[in-house]
Amino acid sequence: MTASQLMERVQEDLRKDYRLTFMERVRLLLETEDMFTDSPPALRYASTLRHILSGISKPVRPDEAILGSVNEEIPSEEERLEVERRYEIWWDIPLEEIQKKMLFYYSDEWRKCRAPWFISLGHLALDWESLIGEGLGGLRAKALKRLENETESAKRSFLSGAVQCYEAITEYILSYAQAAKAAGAPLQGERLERVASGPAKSFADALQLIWSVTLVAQKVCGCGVLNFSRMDQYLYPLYAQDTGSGVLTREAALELIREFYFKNNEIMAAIDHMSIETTEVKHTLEVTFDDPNYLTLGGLLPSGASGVNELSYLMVQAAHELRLRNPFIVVRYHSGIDGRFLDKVCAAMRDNATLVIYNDETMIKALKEFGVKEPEVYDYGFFGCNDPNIPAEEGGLRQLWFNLARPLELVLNRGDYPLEPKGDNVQKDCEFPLYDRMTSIMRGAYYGVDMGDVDAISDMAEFMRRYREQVRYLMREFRKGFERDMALERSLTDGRMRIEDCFLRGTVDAAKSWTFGGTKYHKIVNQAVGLATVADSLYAIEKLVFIDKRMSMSELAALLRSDYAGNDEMPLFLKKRIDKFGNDLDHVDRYAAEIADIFAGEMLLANGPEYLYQMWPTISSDRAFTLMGTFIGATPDGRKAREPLSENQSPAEGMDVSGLTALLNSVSKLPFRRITGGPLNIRVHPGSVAGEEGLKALAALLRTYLESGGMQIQMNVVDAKTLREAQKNPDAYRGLCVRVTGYSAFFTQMGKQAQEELIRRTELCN
Amino acid sequence: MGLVFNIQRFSTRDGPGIRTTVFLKGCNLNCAWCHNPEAIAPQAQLQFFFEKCSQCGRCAAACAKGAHGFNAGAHTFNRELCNACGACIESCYSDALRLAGAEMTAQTVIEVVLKDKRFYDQSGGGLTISGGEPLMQRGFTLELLRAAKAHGIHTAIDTAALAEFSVFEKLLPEADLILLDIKCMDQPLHKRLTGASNEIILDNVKRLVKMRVPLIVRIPLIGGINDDAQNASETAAVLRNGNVLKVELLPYHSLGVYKASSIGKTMQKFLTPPSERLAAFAGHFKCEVTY
Repeated sequence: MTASQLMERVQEDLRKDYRLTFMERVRLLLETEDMFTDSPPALRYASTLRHILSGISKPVRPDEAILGSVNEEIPSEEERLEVERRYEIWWDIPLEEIQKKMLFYYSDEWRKCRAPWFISLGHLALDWESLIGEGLGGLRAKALKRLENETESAKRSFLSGAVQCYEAITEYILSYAQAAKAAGAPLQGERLERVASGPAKSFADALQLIWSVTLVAQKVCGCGVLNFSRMDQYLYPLYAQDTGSGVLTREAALELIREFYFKNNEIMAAIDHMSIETTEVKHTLEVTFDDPNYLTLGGLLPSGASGVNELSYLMVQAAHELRLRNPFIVVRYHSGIDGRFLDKVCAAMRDNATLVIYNDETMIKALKEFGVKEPEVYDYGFFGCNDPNIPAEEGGLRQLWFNLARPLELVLNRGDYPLEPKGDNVQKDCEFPLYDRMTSIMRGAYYGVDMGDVDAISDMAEFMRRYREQVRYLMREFRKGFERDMALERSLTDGRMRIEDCFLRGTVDAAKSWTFGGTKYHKIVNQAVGLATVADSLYAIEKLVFIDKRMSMSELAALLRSDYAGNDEMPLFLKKRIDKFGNDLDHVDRYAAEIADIFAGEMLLANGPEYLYQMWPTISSDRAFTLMGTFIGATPDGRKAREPLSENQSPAEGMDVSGLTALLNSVSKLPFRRITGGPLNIRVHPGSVAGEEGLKALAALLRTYLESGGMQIQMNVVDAKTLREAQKNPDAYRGLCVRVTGYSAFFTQMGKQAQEELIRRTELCN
Repeated sequence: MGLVFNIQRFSTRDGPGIRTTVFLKGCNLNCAWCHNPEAIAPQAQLQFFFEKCSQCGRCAAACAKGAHGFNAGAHTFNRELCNACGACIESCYSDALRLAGAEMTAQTVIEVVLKDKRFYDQSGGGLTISGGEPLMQRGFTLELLRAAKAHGIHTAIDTAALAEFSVFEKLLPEADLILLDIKCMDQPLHKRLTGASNEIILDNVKRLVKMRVPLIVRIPLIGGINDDAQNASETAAVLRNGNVLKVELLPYHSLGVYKASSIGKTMQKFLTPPSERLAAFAGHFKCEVTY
C-alpha cells in the first residue's frame, strides 16, 4: 500500500467500534471445551490451536503486501452474555485452584477470556532471529530430532505438543496462501507458501513470517505485549541483501514497515485496558485487549559499535508518519550515538509518536549487576509496561509492584499498619497473601518489624537504617511466598507446553517450559512505586523532627495515624512549605537516591544462586500508583490517607515547580546504574520545542539528561485538552510551564481569562 | 545585591539553546501593553491574586503592619501599609500571595544558573538577563555577566536600550548577544505609550547596528498601534547593515492585564494583530523573522 492508501486505512481503524470482536476464535475455542480431553495438557493445547487455526477465516485484501488479518464482528448481546457465562464457569473456583490452572501471574481482567486448557500470557520476545533464519520447518525438525532421543513421557508430550504447534501454524499459513491466490493476490500467496515452513529469503518474507506467527501467538493464543526486540539488527542482513541486489528500494521497504506497523494496530481492540472501570473493558471478549507490541532500535553492539543503521532510520520514519499506538518503540541511546538519528527520534517524539528512549550506559551496567551476561545483555529490550527483557532468553510477567510507602509506615508505626492495626489474633505465615502474590499488588494489611520506640530514633541515619530493615523484611517475605508458589507450580508444570515454548531459546532442547528452567534466565520484575512520595516524606520528617524540632517522631506518627484529624493547616503547610523532590534540591533528592539504592541493594540480598527466579529492580508504578495509594495512610509529605502515590519516576503531582531542567537534574541523581527499567513521563508544551531551534533544544535536553545518568525518558507534548484539565485541577499542574509568546509563564499562575486565551490559541495551533 | 523577580530555567525563547533567564526588577519604560507589569517598579512589591485566596486569614495574623484585613468574608489588602517584607507569603498555602522582587547576591543567582550548565553546553544555550530593564541594575548585571563568563557560559541581555551608551560600552565585552526590544519608531507615539521618548533608544540602536553587535530584535506588535507598514519599514531601515541574527515579532496578549491587577494596577486591553498582519510586517525585513 502507498502511504496515502495506508493513511485511509488508519483513519478507518480510528473509528473502529469497541464491540468488534474476533468471534470466530471465541466460538471455536468454546467448541474445544469437550474435545481432546483425554490428551496430555501439551497435546490438548496444540490440538486446540490447530482446531482454531483451521476454522478461522483467512481474509485477504489484495492491496496489502503483508497478509494476515482476522474477521471481526459485533456479537449480539445474547451471545456476548452467553460467552461471559461460559468464561465465568471456568474461573468460579477457589483461589488455590485458579493458581494451579494459571501457574502464573494474572489479572482478573486477563484471566476472564482465557480458557484453562489454552492459556498463554506472552509478555516476552520470541526468538525472531531463529524463526526467520530456520523457518517453521527448521524449528519443527529440531523438535522432532529431540523427540527421537527422549524417553521421559512428560518431556515427550512437551515435545510432541511443540511439533504439533509448528505444524498447525504451517498449515494455517499454507491455507492462507491458497486464500490469497484465490483472491487475486498471487505474489502474496507465493510468499506465504515460501515462509509456511521455509526460512525467510527476503526482507518482505521476513516481515510476513514474523507477522503470521505474531497473529497466531497474540490474537489466537493470547500472548499479549510481545517484544519484537532488535528488529533493525536482525532484519538488516536481508534488507542489505535486497537493496543491494536491487529487488527492494528504500521506499518499498518503508511501505512494508508501515504496513507491518499498521497490522499491529489493526488487531488491537478499540479500548483502554487499564481503564478497567469502563463498559468497553468489562464487556470485551478479546483475549489480548489493546496490548501493544514493543520494538527496539539502535543501541550498542557487543563490539562497542553503534547499532544504528539505515533500517533504524526507516523504522523511526514510519512511526513518525503514522503516530499509532503500536508498536511501542524503544530507542536505545549511548554516548556517541549518531546525532542525526537522535534528531529524527526527537522530532518524532515531539509529534507524540510512540517512541521512548532508554540509556545503554545505565541499563547494561544494571542488568549485569543483576546477573545478565554478555553478549545477550546487549540485546536487552522491553515488553509492556516498561519491563526489561532479554529477548528469547527469558520472559513472562512475574512481577511485584513493591509499595515503597509500606516500609515508611512500618517504621513510623513500629511494624504496625495504621489503617488496620494488628490485633493479638492476627497470625500470618507470609505477609504476602496468595491473591497479592498472583496479582502482584500489595493490598490491605502488611505488618513489619517492631524496632522499638520511634522517639529513640536520634537522627535520619537511624531512620534510614530502620527503613532498610523493613524493606529487607518485606522483600524476604515476598521471596518466601514466591518460593512456596514455585514449589507447587513446578509440581504441576511437567508435560505442559504453551506456544511461547516453541519460540524461545533452550526450551525445546531442554524439553522444559520457559517458566521452569527452559530458558537461560528467569526473572521477577520488582517495581518500586511511590518513590517521590516517600522521598518527600523523608525530607519532611528531617525538617519537622530534626531541623525545626516542631514535633517529636511519636507526635508526627500519631498525627499521621489520625489522618491529620483536626489539623487542616498541617497537610497544606507540608505540601506547600517543605521542599520537594523534582526541584534540583540536593537535600531532598538525596532521599530519593537513597531509597532507590536500598531497594536495589536489598533485592540483591533476596536473590541468589539457590533461586531459579531472580528479581530485577525497576522504578515503575504503571497506573497502580492510584490503587496502591488507597492502601496507605497519611504520609508526612502532606498526602492524606488513601490518596494516590507519586507516579513512576516523576515528582509527586504538581510538586515540580522549577522547570524541566531542574526536574531532570533531580531524577538523574537516582542510582540508575543498578535499576533495570521504568519510565519517566514528562510533559512538554509544544510551544517550548517548536521550530528547528525548539527541536534542537529538545534533543539537547534529552541528551543532557541521558549523559547525566538518566535511564529513560518519554514525553507528552501537551495540548489544549490537558490545559483544560489543568484549569479544573490547578494543584496537580503547578509545574506546567507554557509559552505565551516570546516568553514563558506557569499556566496555573495565569488568570482565567489569559488561560482561556492560551487554550484557544492552543486549539488553533492544533 | 540585585533585585530579582524571577529566575526561569529551561527558557527556550530568550536566545539560542536552553537558557536560564534572570528577570531583574525595575524598568525605565512604562509600556501601556507591558506583559510583566509587576517588573516595572524598582522596589519589591507584594502580588495578591485575589481569586486564589482561600480566606484562611493567616496572612492577617502574619502581617505586622496590618495590611491584610478580613471583613465579612472579603480579603482586603491595603497596599499603602505593605512594606513587602514577605512574612504573609510564608503563611499563605493557596498561592494567592507572591513577592515580586527578592534581594539576591550575584553569587546566589549564579549558583542557580550553574545548575543547568550541562544543558547550556549541550544546546548552545546560556544565561539571559531580562527584566524589567537590566540596565537599570547595571552594576548587578555586569557582575552576573562576568561571573557567567568566568564559568564559560554564553551570555545575553534583553534590553530596551534606554540608557547612555557608556553603559553599553561597559556591558558589551561581557555579553555575547543583545536581545534588543524595539517598540516603535514614531517618537510622539513612543512617548505617549511607553512614557519615554525613543531618541536615546534609536541612537543606541544605530550605534549597535554600526558596531555590528550580534542582535536578536524583538518587537511587541500591538494591533492598530505599531503593526503598520510604516513602522515596519522604518524599523527595517534602522536595522539595515546590522548584525541582526533574527527578528522576533511578539503579538500582543493580555496576560499583563491580569498580572497588573495583582499589584493593584489597571491596564488597558489592546488588540492582538491577526496573522496576515504579522506576515505583512515580517515581509519588510531581509533577515529571518519569527512570530
